[in-house]
Amino acid sequence: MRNSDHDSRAYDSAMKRIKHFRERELTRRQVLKASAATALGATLAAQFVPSEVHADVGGTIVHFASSGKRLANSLRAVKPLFDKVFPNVELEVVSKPMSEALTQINTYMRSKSDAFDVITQDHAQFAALDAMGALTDLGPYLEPFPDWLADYEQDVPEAYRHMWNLPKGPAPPGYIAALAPDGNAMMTFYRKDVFESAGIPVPETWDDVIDACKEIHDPANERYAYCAAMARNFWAGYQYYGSLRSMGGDVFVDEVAEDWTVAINTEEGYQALKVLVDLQKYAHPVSANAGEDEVNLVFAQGTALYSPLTWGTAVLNDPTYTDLHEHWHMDLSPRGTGEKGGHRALTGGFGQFMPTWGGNRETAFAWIKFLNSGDNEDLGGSSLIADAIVGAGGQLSRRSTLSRWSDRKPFFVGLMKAYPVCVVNAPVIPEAYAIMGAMGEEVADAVNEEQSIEDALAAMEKRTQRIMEDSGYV
Amino acid sequence: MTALTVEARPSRAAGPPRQGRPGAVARQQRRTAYLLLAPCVIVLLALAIFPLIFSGTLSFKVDPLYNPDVARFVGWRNYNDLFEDRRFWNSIELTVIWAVVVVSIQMVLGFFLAVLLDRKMQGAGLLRTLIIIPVFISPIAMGLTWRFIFEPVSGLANWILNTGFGLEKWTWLSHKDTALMTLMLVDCWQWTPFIALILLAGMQSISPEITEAARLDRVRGVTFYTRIVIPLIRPVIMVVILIRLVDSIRIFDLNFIMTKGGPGSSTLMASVYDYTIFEQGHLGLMAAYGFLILILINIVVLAFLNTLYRTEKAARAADQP
Repeated sequence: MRNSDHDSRAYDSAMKRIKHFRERELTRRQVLKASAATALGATLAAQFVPSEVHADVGGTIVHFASSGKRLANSLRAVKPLFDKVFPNVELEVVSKPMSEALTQINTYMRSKSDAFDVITQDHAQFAALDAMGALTDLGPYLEPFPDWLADYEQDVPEAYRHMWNLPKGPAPPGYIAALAPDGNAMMTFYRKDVFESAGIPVPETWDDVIDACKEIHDPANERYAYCAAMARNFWAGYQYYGSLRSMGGDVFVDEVAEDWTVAINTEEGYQALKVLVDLQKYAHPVSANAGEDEVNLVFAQGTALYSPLTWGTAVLNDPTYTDLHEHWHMDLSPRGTGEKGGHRALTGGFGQFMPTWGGNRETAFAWIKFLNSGDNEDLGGSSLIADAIVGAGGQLSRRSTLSRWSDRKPFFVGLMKAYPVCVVNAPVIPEAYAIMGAMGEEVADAVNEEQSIEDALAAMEKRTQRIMEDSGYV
Repeated sequence: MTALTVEARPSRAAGPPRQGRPGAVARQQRRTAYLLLAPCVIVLLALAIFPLIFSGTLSFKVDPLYNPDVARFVGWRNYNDLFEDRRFWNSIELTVIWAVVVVSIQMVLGFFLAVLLDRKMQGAGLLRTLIIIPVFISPIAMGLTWRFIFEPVSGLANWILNTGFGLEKWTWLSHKDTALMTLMLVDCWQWTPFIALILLAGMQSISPEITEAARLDRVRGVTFYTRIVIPLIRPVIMVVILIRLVDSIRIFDLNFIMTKGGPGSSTLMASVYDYTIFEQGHLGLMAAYGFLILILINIVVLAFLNTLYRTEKAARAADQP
């Protein structure tokens, strides 16, 4: 905790600066010009004294990331710091809403686009990117920095770190395809004040979840117990997969042993979907068609009180986002009570990779390395990098920086609890996203009473089977 | 320049006919015509024909976006898969219902609006300008704004219903039974003024002599519109219906921004479903669906053009003594 006070001061000073901007009542145009992330980055950069400056390196790096506080804004906040180390490198952050960005990145990569030098992409897409030949092995780039890599490896949890090692399967991890300063896991989000006043603990099992929802559900006063991202396609797919893993089920009989027999239509599969259908009784109306942005919004407004499975992001602990930032706490997602049940948190993460067809490789790598640096100044790091990421609304994968911030971000406490029980958020095969999408369509139809649980399970199994046949697995 | 042309023509006409000359001229003219057409044809080939052939070929392949190594031809399988998919039929049914309902409502409301705007009144010009505003709003911005308005718990629409009129809050976009209707409401809000303005232009092109003659014959009220106005602006009505029908069948932006086809599959119309198939990486299936939408639109267009042609022909025959 050596840096705790220093970091607190840096963060508070940055926040004050933003507040100061607001109090001076800048015009809308001025506010737009100086976005909060950039202002925060500039404030932190003023305190940043780089150990070395590479004025001899030039060029432009174009970095594509999903828009919003967590990803694109974090990059924008770190940029002013990076500018001090590489004053002659021009860094451009290009962003699109997450719901479009994930598919767009795959489309760009399928067409071998050279438009971007660095891309931030969802973990579940990496096997597909590998199949497209879009990923660069970062090993040779990391080789000159063994101490830096050792520091990174001891700080980022193994389950999380290995998400970026491809290809997976029974063979040892192949190559390092990405690094990720950003960490996430599917967790329980709950209003601590509401649970405390109702005298109920954080639900441990799915039965407890239903009981808790019965207790706190109060639609007459516009306080709905439950909310989750149940929009058709991927969102609902991930809800189901999180529930399925907690029950002890999975998409295939044994992915590690490469037994690709589809195993969705099982007792675990049934229980996983049934609990999601049962929870609809207590659901906030937006839940039926919500992505995580909509869920966060009703959490922030205070009309929804609890979600057993959500990625949520650190935004709910952000005082600039919600007045309830102190009341939102995070914990382990529920466990299934069956024989195979357990707490299993789906990882949720975005890795930064260098596309095969991008340019400025050395400089692009330097930017990725800079973003992923820890606090150790001897290794080119700085605590201000993590401060910029957290201040802009991002979240971290390094345990050291997580714990440094945990007193002010309950989300980080939840993350640290979740990391040891993390499981990868989708099968690590190129077909993962197609399978999640297919499952999500069937789940959304089931929770919206357009088909029975049995029909949904049968359809999921049939569609997954077809996808696997098409790719030659079975 | 003019002088030269004038001189050249009589001399050519006056001279003795030379064998082969007309053929050479025709060839020359054809060559010029081809040359002039070439840029257009090249652009058309590049932007329309090539993608059409490409996606036609794609529709007979399994070609996952996520795994190009396994791409291969599978014959008619993608089409078979679609015909066996309950969501496909559901999306076609929803699209047809959508197109018929929204275009009907918009035509009726648009006609009444046009009748109102056609009257001589103060501020009519300003009213016309204000009324057209929804047409110019970006569908994305509009969809997002309406989504906030229809937020089921704290949205403006429910606040007005509840606080203003003491009514129960409505589910709007968040329930499968009301989501499609809510989308229709927004679409009508946006496109009714467009129809009204086109119909108004049609009404204002009617000759004042005809209007005056109708007035002298004491043809007024509903009869004036059913017997005089509608028959005279029938071609305009047909064209505007055609434009809106094709647009409605292709509906994507509003549907995607406001519901993405949900809740469940309750607003899953053709283009959004096709995009979902693309998102899941099934490029062959996506292309097959795209072709089926193209066929559907062509059927509608052909049926309408045929009707329009027959109506015009009948009208011309009736005009002849």
